[in-house]
Amino acid sequence: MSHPGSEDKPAIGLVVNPIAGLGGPAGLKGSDGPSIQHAALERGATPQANDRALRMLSRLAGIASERFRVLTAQGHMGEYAALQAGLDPQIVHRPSSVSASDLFGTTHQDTRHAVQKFRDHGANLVLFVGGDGTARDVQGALADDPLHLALGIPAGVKMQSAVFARSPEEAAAIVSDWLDSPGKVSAMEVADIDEDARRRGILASKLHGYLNVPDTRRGLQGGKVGSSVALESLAGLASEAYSKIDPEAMCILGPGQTVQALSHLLDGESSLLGVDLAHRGRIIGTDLSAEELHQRTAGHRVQLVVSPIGGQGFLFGRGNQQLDVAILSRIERDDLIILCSSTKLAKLGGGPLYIDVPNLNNSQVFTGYQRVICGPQQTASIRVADASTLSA
Amino acid sequence: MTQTFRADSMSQANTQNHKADSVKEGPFEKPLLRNYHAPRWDEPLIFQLSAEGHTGVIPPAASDQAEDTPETAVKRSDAPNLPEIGQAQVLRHFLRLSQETLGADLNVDIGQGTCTMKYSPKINEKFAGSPQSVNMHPLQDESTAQGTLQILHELQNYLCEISGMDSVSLQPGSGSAAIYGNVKTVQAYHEHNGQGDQRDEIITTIFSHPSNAATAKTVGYKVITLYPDENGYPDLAALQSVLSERTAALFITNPEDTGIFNPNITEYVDAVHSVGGLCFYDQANANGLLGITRAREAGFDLCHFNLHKTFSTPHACGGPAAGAMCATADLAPFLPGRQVLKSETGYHFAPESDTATADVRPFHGVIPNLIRAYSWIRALGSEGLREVSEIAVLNNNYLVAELSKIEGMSIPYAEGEYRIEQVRYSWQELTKETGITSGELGARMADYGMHYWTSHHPYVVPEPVTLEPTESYSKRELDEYIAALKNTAAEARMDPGVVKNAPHRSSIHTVDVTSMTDPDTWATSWRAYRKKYLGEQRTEPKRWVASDSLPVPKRAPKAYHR
Repeated sequence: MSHPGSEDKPAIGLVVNPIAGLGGPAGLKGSDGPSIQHAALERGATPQANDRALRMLSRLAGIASERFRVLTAQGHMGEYAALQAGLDPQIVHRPSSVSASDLFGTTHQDTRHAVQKFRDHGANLVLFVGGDGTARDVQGALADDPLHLALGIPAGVKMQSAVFARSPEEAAAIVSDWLDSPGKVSAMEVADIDEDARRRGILASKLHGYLNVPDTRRGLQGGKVGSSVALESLAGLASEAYSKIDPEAMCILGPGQTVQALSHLLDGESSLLGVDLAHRGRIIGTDLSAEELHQRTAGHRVQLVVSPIGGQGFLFGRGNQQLDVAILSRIERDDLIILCSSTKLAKLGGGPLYIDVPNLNNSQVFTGYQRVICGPQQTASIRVADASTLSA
Repeated sequence: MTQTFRADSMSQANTQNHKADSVKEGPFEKPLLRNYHAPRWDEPLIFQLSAEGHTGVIPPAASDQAEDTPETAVKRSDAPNLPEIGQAQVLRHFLRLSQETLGADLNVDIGQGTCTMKYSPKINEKFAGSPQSVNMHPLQDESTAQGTLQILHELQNYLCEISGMDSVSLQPGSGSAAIYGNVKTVQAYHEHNGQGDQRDEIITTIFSHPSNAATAKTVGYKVITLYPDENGYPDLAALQSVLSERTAALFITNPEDTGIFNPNITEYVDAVHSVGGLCFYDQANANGLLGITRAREAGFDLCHFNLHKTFSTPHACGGPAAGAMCATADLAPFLPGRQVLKSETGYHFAPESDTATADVRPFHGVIPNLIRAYSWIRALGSEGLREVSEIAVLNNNYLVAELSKIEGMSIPYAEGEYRIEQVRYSWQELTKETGITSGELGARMADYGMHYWTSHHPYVVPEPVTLEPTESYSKRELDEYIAALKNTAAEARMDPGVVKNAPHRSSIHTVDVTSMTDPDTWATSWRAYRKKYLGEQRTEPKRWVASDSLPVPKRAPKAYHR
């Protein structure tokens, strides 16, 4: 993504989720839903999102004033913060049917609509203030635009997603760097707590997609000074995995970017978040349900390629429930192919990785020490544990 | 522009120290936290200083030049594309650059853990710089190099004694070359036994030096990495899960880069031996082990030393350094290079072994560095070597005790257990609290004149910093480093901006990392820069050719200031 002509300043779309983070200080596990929000207020919570937006905008105005213009939504969704920061925002979205001054009047839909309007008005970068839920809304509104660029300002109770700057000030620095030199982007994970799992007392994320974020080696990348995820070769992982695939077998490809890299070596398009199927060097089915997987693999050797979810290390039972007991019970130990970049593996502390599939009678196939492919000619021996027995 | 915090805790610590020593705080007492400021010269590249016609001192050609000498045979016909610049300008240029660097003789260099940045005694430079050292020709007759050969022979013996091994190759010109040589030795051994194709896997650990995995891959082995268990030891069950008839060798460090010594190492070695694999001990972290433990007693077949780490020869900014490969008698026939033997007629290079792996460097090793290591060992003696390790461990324990008091810093794995000579600490808690990363703290440490290194990549310990105090630093120097680290952590809480935008008082402010890490944008030479950024084609500078009849040039008139 590049800036438009020099006479036209880059446009930044700003959307604030006004009630983000409300539940956190009150000891609630999120801020979703009116009852939680009112409970939070009763416990003395005060909204933080506007303050966070203001901190970011004030810093940005200080270091890069006059170099960008702001598109935003009315009232608490960005307008107030922009005005407080001394900016002159263009209001491109007005939340429907509510008063702009009502903190609780806006919804997920408003975030999506605002981002959609930013696109219509040619925004070069979408800044959003919120948590994982907000990131999901923004990702949903931008998913079909391969050239989108976005950055989160952290204001949520929990932020599993990798699309947030470390702080509002850090976000301002990233935006300033980006204004100086648009440069590279990195596709980073948008994840959210798996609510079903959480109800069963297991903390796990579910991958929802990816957002392109400015890769200025600050903040987001701050933990990796001198290193680069972008340079790490998923292609190397993929070619190593490819060499393990029996073309005559039905090869199930799990969700996520790591496994998707394998699809470049196969004919056909793969789905990023769904479960796909490959056979004889071609992708023969995408985003398949459990039922479809049963039908199409019947009578064949079944291989399974998966990559753990970053942060939690779940191989399956999270985000890929299509892989049900019936399919998994047909997998032999040698037919499980696990991919994980060494950076991701390091962040998981070298394991253990987890599976969580209740009533799996061959769980020993998947647990114990497994060879994890980390690169060309490179593996790690990592323990895989059954989370359903751990949490009991 | 910048503000220096004197964290309360630190001022108190200072006061307490002085009280404890019963020293009155005098007016000339300097604080532990130095008011450092690096010189900033904004020095151009030497190529940018080039001016047409400028030259250094050029001696006239000999009038009766010998024909057919080896030198004339290899003399290049065209002039190298070097800058045209006078001697004085060259001197000033490099002196300025040296002032802009935190050299090993300048700063308390304990921030580069695993590198063992100890003092390189200056007297050893004298030996290393002697004509017998620097003028040693690889093809000169052995009878004319007996002294040098004696040094190599005795150094081999000392390293055998220190490691417990039977044979030593001094050929490698770096630590990584020694590890590579060991991979090749493993390969030669298995090929000799007809198992070269079958044994195609080398196992290493994530906290061993990355050169183990890298060199194994270079040779063509499949690499299997082990991660730590909860004690910080390499996961023994993971090792057992991957051992097979395909196992060529285990390449492992002990203590690993966490500073944790694995007391059960023989179990690992025995497990690998039981499937016919070999075991190589990467002794990059040997500074706490001299005279205390040996590779032999742990059952290893091979090991190596970085002479530029443990044995004080300078790191030399990318080389040449010196690595030593040590082997048991079973593996000795496969070592590269030629060892120096002693016979009744004197010292001589052993004949080349038929089974030896290919040389890892032409001829013999890096003689000046081998002489430095030899001198260091001779100066200390066996008791001195052990004392080196004991002081290195003591210094590390002191550092651990002091740094444990800093809130936000932790020591992952095996809580409360002693480390050996270094520690990989974690700033994870401080980062969570302040958003300041370990890398950013490191940039701020430069403002206090201190080096700071995080860890190899990928980071397994979150927000890591690896510190190794060695035996070379005084208590005052360690206290200075501790004070700077405490102050930087305090700044992260009180004024994160000052840390985030550091360095402020270093020679250079923040540089764009991509300019050094991205092949699309980096320019590793002046020529590459001109080609990549200026679109220039290479131009030949005007060539100065000395006339045969040229008289000795007169000195230029002396230049005066003003």
